[in-house]
Amino acid sequence: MANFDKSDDSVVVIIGSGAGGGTLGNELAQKGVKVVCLEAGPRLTLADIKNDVGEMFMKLSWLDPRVGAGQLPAGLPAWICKTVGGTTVHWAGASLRLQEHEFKTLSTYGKVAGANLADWPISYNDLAPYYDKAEDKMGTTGTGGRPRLPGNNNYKVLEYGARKIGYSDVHTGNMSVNSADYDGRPKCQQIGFCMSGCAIGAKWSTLYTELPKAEATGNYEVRPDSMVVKINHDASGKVTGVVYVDRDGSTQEQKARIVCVAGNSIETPRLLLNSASAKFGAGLANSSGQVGRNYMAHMTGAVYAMMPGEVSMHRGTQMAGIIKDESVHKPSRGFAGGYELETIPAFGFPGFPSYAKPGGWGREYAQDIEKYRNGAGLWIVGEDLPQESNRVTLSPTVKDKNGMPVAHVYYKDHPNDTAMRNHAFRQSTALYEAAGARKVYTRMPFPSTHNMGTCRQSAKPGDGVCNGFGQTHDVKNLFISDGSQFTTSAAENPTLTIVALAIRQADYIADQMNQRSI
Amino acid sequence: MQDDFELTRRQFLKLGGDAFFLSLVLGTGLAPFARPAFAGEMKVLSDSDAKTLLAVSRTLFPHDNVEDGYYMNAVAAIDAKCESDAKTRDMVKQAIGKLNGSLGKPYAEASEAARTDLLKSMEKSDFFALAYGETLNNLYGNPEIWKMFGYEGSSVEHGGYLERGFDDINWLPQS
Repeated sequence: MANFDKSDDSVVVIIGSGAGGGTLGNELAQKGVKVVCLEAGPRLTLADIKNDVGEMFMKLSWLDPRVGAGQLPAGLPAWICKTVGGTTVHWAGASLRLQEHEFKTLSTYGKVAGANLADWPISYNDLAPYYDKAEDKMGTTGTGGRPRLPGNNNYKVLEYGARKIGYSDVHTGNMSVNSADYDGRPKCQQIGFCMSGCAIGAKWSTLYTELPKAEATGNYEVRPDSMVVKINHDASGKVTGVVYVDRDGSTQEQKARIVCVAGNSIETPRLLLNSASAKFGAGLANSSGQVGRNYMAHMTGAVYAMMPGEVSMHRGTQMAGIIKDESVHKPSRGFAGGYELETIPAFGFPGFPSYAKPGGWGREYAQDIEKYRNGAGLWIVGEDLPQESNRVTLSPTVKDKNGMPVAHVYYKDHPNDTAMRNHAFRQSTALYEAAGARKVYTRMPFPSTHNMGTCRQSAKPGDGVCNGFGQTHDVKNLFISDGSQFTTSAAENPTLTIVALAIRQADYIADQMNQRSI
Repeated sequence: MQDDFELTRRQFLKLGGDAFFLSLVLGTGLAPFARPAFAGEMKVLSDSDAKTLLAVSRTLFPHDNVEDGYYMNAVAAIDAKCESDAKTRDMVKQAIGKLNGSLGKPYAEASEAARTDLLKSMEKSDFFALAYGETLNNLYGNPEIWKMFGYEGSSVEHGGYLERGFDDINWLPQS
């Protein structure tokens, strides 16, 4: 493992070690580029990962203060991680490519009132070779000749009901969870705690794949417990380094040739806004005024059904089950874009009583809780439309322990999102009833794990924050390297696309460095 | 860490986070330990108070085959909060007064329908939030109860479910 000097201004500084930052760091290190990764959270090992939902939630989550507004929970607007490996420690592993038309939503859907739709500056074909590389890197099932996972009980209920109501594109998904030993990691043992961290490393996470590989090159250093508070720049407007608070609470500056921000879609715009200066009064890379805007969280919801026999939905890979039939764009359904239906458990006890019917109580509900064994569940994830008013700003009143304003996150559904969710609730209810459900509970979103769009890619500098490589329009040695880049959310779980974009960005950065352009 | 946890829990209670996460935060430190049915004594609440709170917990989540002791863990948790915070104690005492003074007989002796209706009218109160949260977490956070209702807890030490029935469903018609 390398150990770089803080005054070394030849390094690339990457802020964050998750899907975007962790992947980008390894890709650059493999090419011989020197990388310092600053990660706000601590570094855990597999031994720290327990099969306990509550304990792992407290260990992994970003619980520093944030303010939720609109329809978000005030105390916890999003469910994302503060740990080395970022949200790849928590993610379920669903790895779906965006569809061709989803890169061109404005052209495909046309103007939608209240939505800030735009086409991505890149196409599916630009990203396709990088999707191949990402799937090989992550060992994604159902791609590259790798078999799909076997279906658990929860999947079998989903599949049966799906076929009964006429769906045909139903399988155990493209999961970055090993169906056979791969890349030095074991095959899935159907443990059932994917989202609390995979205790055996069968699920891809940068924590135990990209990071150790990067460290082995001698070109890479990750500094855990290092919270970046500001990005510095010189008189010409180029960034020169970052200010961070280390684990002892001391303020440090790391010099840099290039800075890449991958703090997830809430912290990334917060950092740019907190880096405002005399030269960049509205925040760094914000001449468009789009930093923090178009915050997307996917249209989500969950459905829990009481089946006539035992399911034990906590057994097995949590999200290895998908229905893709509704992911198409078919305006006759009354909304633009589409959605996926994916298996999800209820996260045990006290999870099931808490979330099947939030706030529920009384004899009838208690009787369903007693029949927990018979419960089956699915999660709805669909495209939500970008809205300028859905937005991350700096809280005028709340500061973190370093004295920096925290993120204020505002989000409300677009009518398109509501129409899509209602359609998904109807279809899911029909599906479970076709499989014999005695009762079906539908519930509104959990705090979002999919966060996108607050520093979006755009062809024109006035419409977004960065170009098709994630390079900011205003500052050419500053990059956005996470899901904040997404121009639109598409229907698919975002991680695979974040990884593919990071691999592509690494090629571009290395090339630009060789050409001495940055 | 303990301080962080307390801060987070207060923050959640104050800001009214999603019940999903409220339960995760409240449940921390409770969930991993199977606790036997409670058989101790109250610290600040009277036996009569405890009887009323027990009836509240049983009205919230009535499981006829679960003995009182498992619900009493929730009552004991409320008692502990009353001991550490005078405001909470006053709030709980006042609610108990209302519960016992509204039905023409002690709350615990009223019919389930009457108990349910009265509790329903108090759903927006701080007392309800406290009783609800503590019952959810102390009753359903107890691994003895998990076993009863079929949640199997940690599985990695048993090799997961690969050889233990992850796909053993037997009632679905063959499609």
